[in-house]
Amino acid sequence: MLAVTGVTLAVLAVILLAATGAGVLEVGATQFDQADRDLWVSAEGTSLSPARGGGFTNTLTDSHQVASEIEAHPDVAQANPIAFQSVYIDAGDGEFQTIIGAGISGTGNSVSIQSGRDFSAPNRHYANGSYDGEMTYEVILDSDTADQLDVGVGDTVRIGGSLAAAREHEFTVVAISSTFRQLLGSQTVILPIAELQEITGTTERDPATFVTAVTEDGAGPEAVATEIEEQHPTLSVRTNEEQLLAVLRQRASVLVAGAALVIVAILAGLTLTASLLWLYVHHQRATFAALLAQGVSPWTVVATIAVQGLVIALLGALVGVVLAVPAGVVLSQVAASLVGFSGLVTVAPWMLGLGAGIALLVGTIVAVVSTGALLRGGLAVPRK
Amino acid sequence: MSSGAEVTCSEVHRTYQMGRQSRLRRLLGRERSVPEVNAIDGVSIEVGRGEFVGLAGPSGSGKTTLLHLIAGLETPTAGTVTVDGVRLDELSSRERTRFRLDTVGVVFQRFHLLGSLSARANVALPLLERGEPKARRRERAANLLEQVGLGDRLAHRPGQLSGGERQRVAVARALATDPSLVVADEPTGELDSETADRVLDALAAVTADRTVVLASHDDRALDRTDRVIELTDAERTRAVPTTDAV
Repeated sequence: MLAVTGVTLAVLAVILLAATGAGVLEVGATQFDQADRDLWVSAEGTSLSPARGGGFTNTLTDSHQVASEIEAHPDVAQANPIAFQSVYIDAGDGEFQTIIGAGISGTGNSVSIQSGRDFSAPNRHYANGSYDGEMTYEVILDSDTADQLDVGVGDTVRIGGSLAAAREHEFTVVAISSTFRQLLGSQTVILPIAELQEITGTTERDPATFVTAVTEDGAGPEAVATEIEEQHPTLSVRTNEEQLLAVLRQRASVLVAGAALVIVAILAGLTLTASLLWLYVHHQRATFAALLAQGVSPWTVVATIAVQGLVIALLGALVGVVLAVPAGVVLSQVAASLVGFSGLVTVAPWMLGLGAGIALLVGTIVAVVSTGALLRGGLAVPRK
Repeated sequence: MSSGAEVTCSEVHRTYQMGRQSRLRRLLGRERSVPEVNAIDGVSIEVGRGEFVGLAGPSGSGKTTLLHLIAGLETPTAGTVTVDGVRLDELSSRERTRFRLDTVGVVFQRFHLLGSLSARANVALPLLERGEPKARRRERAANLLEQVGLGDRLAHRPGQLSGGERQRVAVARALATDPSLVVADEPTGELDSETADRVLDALAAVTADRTVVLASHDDRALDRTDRVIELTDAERTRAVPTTDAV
């Protein structure tokens, strides 16, 4: 029973560690896919993470103009700038906190609204670059931020690039959406980009982190990216996959952690199962000696223990696989509440196979090898 | 049913080395003498067919060693052990294994059962070695367990059985191959008196007409034997006095 429990734990460790490792690598790809964009256009060195001093690297200037030029490409259906900038926010009580402000040109299909409505006029303030259009003062909060500030749709919050600016700008919460929170892994408020630029005092340069583009149906994103780069040599144009890789390269620790978790999963499973079966076999050495004393041949002892090892591994693998799925769901929810990314622990069929395979293969082999080694080394006949 | 084996030990010596010569010392040619201890020294006994003989004596007197020599588990340093006319020291390791399978049943003080197997599977294991068909193995194991009073415990694993029940399973396993010689080393050593009686009853029930050599400190166990051979301190050279039947 204890041996089966041990193998079960080994299988669970393999599956859940592998699921976490692979999840770390896959969640980024999924988020990029869910962003419903084909191309990510940036100036040099843009990173999708907070830069020095709490701000984001919004190095792409005149972003609306750049977006218009890209949208003029015959194979581009839509192009919009996105900016990320740290902002201060409170619910009117003076207890400001810093948070990531995401400036967008419209929610489109890329922002999943949980409650409330879309922006009424996200580009009105931009007014073709004059920034003299009326501000909508509309904001979308993620659910965690809304909970922290104890506000909901229809309530008012104050936001600005500085404390002074925040005290002067009251926004109405029009919707709750966790799309950007999941993409960035941090609490995020979403504003019309021009209004984000206005309250952070950056309208002069019209900065953005990216211009994202959606290509026409049938157009190849890679070919379009190459053409845009030829037209705009100072810009870097990446497909979803390239952008993810670029982000991951900047976050080498994420890659290393993900890969390390997968490797640790395999090693942990191997070690745990092997040591467990080895102990199980050695625990019975006196019994083997007693069987040999009875005239049972070493081969029969090895075969018997091999079957035992297989049965223990099989039972452990079965229980481990059955428990892994709900355990993965629970772990994923815990991870989501801690780091903001949902689906960080995703148990795939190959992981179940990996866990069960390691248990079955290693369990049986170690049972046979360790029994064989014991017998080769000579077992003392029990004197009791 | 077997009619029992005839056992003769003649001037048997068994010496053990206390510790090992290290490989490094051997390689360096700096071997040192390893102390030796005489477990038994010049023992001669005879056990007739179908006899139930007890071995008595203080701890360290060589009871277990003598049992191992009679069962072919070890070979004597000097002297001869003969079972049914076969000199065990002249058999190869493989032949002695076969000899034990065909001729000897061993019961230890501790039960040494495989914890993951049922009582029936533990008893049937030696029969697997003989290539007996599964149905026959199961039937034989069930019959033996029935004889030792465990007919209702066939599917129980050792962990689900009491100490006395486990020892009775071990007795049944020792008899699985229908041996003509049964050696039992302190089979009641870990049991209370009531449980010990049940185990001895079981042993008596399944060993009728077989030769049994039982080593014990337990007078009640020795009381059940036809005669008792008393071993004295084995550290020094000595003869083995034989008492009359108790």
